[in-house]
Amino acid sequence: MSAETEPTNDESEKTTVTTVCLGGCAGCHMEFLNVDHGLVDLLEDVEIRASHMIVDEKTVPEADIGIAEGFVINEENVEVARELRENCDTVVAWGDCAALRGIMSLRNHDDRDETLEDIYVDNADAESEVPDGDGDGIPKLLQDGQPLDAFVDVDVYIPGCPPDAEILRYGIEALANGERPEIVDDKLQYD
Amino acid sequence: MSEATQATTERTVTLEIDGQEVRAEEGETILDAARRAGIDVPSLCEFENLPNVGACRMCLVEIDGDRLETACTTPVEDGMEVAVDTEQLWDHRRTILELMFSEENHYCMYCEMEGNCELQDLFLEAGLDSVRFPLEYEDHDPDTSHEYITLDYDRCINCGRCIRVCDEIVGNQTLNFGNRGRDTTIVADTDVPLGESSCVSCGACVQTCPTGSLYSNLSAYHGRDSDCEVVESVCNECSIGCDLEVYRTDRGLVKIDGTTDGPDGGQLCEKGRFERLERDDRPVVGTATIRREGELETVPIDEAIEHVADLLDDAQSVTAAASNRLPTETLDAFADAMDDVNADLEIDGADRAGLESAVREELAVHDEENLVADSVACIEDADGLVVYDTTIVETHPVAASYVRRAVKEGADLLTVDPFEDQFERFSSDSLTMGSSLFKVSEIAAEAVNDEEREAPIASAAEKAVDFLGEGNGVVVIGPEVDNQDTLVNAYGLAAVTDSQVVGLNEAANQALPDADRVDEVGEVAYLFASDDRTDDLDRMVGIARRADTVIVQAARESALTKLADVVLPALDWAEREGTFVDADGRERGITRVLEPRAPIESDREPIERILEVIA
Repeated sequence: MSAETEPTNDESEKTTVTTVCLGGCAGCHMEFLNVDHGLVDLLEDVEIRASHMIVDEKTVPEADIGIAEGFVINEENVEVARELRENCDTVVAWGDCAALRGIMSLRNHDDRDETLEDIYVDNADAESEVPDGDGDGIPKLLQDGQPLDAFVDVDVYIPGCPPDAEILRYGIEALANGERPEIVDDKLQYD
Repeated sequence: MSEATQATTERTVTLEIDGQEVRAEEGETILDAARRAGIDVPSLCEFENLPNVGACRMCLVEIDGDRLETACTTPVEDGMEVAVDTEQLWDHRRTILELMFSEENHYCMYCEMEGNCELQDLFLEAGLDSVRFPLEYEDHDPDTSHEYITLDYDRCINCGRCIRVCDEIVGNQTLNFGNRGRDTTIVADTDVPLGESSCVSCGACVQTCPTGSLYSNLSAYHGRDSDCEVVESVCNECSIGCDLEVYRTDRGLVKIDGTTDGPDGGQLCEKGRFERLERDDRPVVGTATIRREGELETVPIDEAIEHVADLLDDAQSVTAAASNRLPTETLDAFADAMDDVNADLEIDGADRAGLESAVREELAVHDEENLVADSVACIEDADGLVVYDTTIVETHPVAASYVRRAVKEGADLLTVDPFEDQFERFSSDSLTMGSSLFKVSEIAAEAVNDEEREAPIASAAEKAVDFLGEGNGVVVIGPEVDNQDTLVNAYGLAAVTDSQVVGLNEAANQALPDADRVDEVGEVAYLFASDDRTDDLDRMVGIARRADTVIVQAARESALTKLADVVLPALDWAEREGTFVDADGRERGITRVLEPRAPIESDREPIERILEVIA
């Protein structure tokens, strides 16, 4: 871990967290809601600046901890990933896709342009156009998807599809206490 | 894998493994010494009963602080200092695991073997949470051509366990590495689909695969090992009697594995591993039925029993037949009952067993009883083999693997089969012309006695004598041999060449009551089919067609129950318990795996009650 979050004794200064969803299914974010009432306890020490299931924020706010779900599949994902790295002290690759490529990486078996053709021309109506990302307001797909650490340094990896809610909670709590989370034994999951 | 118990060898070598003093036998590998001392050494390509090849590099250990070796292929040395569990070694292992991960699709999330996978366990142990290498994303189409086995190349780490088990244990040599080099994969024969290959469908490769690369279509997604209860039993599909581990959940059977520490080294066959498990989609005979106005009508079991008792009591003549896979206790009860009503009893295999025991008795008179092998496993140690009737490949597949293994170890094999040599790839010579088995063996015996040299039979017969005379000779007589002359000649051949005889008849249970082939069918036929299916039912269906009144005791509806006038429920194989006698004459225990679905506790129960009513 490159940057440790400072443990804070000042109650008004909570550890701040920003989460983003890259090319993912939002399953990790959904799973995190399963901390359930634990979220209330967590919020005593932690302030969630952005997390699309909880705080709908269009930017990537500065935070102590930046957590990314999903595979990096398009140019927007690359920008968001870089912003996250820039704006956060610690970056967490959350879930199989961000950490290990995961199910989203199945697209890498096929050629990007052929896949787009296939979906938006061959299997669509006559009016459909290929969203190639060149000035049509849609982020351009990368030729191949990549895991988070192909673009930015990652401090903590939490694989799993999705990792149990309690594992992310543990990770955030550990970081809030200035410790490096140990994702081993039953905290390391692939399913 | 003979059962020979190894005398405790002296452990004269002393070494240190992870700071622990370990005593080991000379020539033993570091891996074996460590495991015995309770020290965990990670491994993937190592598997019980298989020779070690050091392919996966997981058992890498540091020796005397300066060199790295695979523990599975390095013998112990006195004073050696071995390190297994160090940060540096785990770094190496992790790197290798990352390389494996990057080559194929190793996402546990969508794998059948998730939770049962040795590769997953090692990923977890090594703490693999990211991978530094780019992934290959190659397209590997799974081979789904086989009825029972799927080969998913996308999960394969080329550890070669399936190849070695197919070669060393099953002796069939179907699987091999192909496309060697960077694109090395497992191939069947000359890279043909598994379903079209020489595969004997024994499933040993499935049992040995450490990942989700080889799995059974019958067991996939039915439950992880950890969700299952394991019941140990014995297979009685044939008289070999392989040890079984049956995995079950509340929803039913999940899979059947061989017991790896058993005499057969974890081997089973298509019948024991797959056919038994194949969801029998024939309706269960859940109640007793009596045919009234053409239709089978459900009746209380007591009513059916009384009706059967009346039918048997009133019949002029009764013909009976029973499945040869039933436990001894059930067969005995049935034979007693049929004796009470003076029925002619037929059990497939019993006539041959009767003939053969007569031959053996005759031999005993001439002090030649030591011709009879103590154990079927003696085939493995043979230097020369003559197999009469190669259908043992289908009827006694594990015995067939002993034959193949013996050949692999250098034994010469002569096969005598009137139709097709099913050991074609393995036999040095075979007699497959249309002549009867009797003729062949007669000439073979003549060749021994008179040194007659008539091509081609006599020359083959001469070979038989040569092969068997080479040292340890074994004559195997398969179930199709059904006449006394052939038996006498085969035993004669063994006597002349000082060989041993393994006689394999059709019956699974060798504790057979006296029974003969029924030629004339009586007025009433009582056919105890149990859970027999397909070909096993043919004889009984033939009898049923010729009888006026047909009583069937069966676990499943079939062509036979369609001909029945009364149907009594019977237990499925998994519901039975009792004992049976295997081909070696040993009594084996059959354990109940599932609770009976029919309203009977045992197969004997209705039979005993019928007798009570008649009395």
